[in-house]
Amino acid sequence: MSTIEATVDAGPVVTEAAERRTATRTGSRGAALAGARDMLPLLLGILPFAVVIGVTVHRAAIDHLAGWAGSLLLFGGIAQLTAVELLDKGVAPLVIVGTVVLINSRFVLYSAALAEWFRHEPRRRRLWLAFPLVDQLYVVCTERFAAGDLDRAQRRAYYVGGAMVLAVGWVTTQGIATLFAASIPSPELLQIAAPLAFVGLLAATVKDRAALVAALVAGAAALAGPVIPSHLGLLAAIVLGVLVGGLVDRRPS
Amino acid sequence: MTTWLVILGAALCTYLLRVSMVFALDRRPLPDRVAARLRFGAPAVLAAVVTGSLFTSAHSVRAPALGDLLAVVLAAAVVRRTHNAAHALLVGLPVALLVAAVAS
Repeated sequence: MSTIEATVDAGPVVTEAAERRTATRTGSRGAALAGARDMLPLLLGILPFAVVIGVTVHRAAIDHLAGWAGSLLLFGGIAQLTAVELLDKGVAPLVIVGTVVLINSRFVLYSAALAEWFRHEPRRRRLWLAFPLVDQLYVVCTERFAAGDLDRAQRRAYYVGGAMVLAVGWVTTQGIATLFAASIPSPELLQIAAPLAFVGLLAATVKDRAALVAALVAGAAALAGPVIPSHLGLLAAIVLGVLVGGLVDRRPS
Repeated sequence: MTTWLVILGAALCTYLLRVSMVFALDRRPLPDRVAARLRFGAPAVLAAVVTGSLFTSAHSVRAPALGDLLAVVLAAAVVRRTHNAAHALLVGLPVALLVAAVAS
């Protein structure tokens, strides 16, 4: 076959492949933007919490840079705040790490969801994707992926888009709050923003009886949080909500 | 140095929690029935965090501030009507701040 024939033969194939790639890129870009957009209300809700942590890091007798680095390395507000406060009190390092593990034990549940979402991705990529997995990302992706209308690349793009917005907003805000803590009057006033953002998503996404039951049970169980030892109250409430929601679910699986 | 060690150690352990199921389910995916139940994780997480924030402190159950409670209820009602989660902050935050200002 001559070079010209080969080029002519390959023409439509190359064009189709290029079109497919372009369509995927466009779809992925759109999905990434959608992920970023869907994350924004939750990000706005947790920014006051980021300010509170930044101010706490500034006031604590610890290495401020390391405290702030926790915003990215730990990427979980409750655990980071607890670690900073315990460090400030001089608690033993192993006890602090153990406490963080208990607080973040709910991530095992999120990890199971992540393994399902990205089952067809190479393992190395899944290991990268797991890094920013946190409450907000888990909730937004669970809701969006339930529709089942995104292909593999779009799903990944949506996840990364949401994660990027969350990470940049969270880490930057904490950094600014740590640097300018002295000028911040009382960030505690805005603490209601996080529950508001969460309740907004909850109200928008509870669409059937079983999901409502899961929410009610988890909400009620969370009241027992203070009496459950080792910071396991949140995890217990979530697991109970999922189990009871599953029991009353009549949708075919 | 201690701070760095704690943050790095906690970050490593947290990352292991995040990847735990990626390894555990690598060869044997979750049964469909169990995977379908994971959808209840989102409402459960959201409800548990909201209730925990409003009604509990570090060691006890507490009554929430009136403004906070009012703001959350109004925000939920508005979002149920508009189906736009972003409206929760737009409605709830001014209400909470206004009631707090009036009460103080």
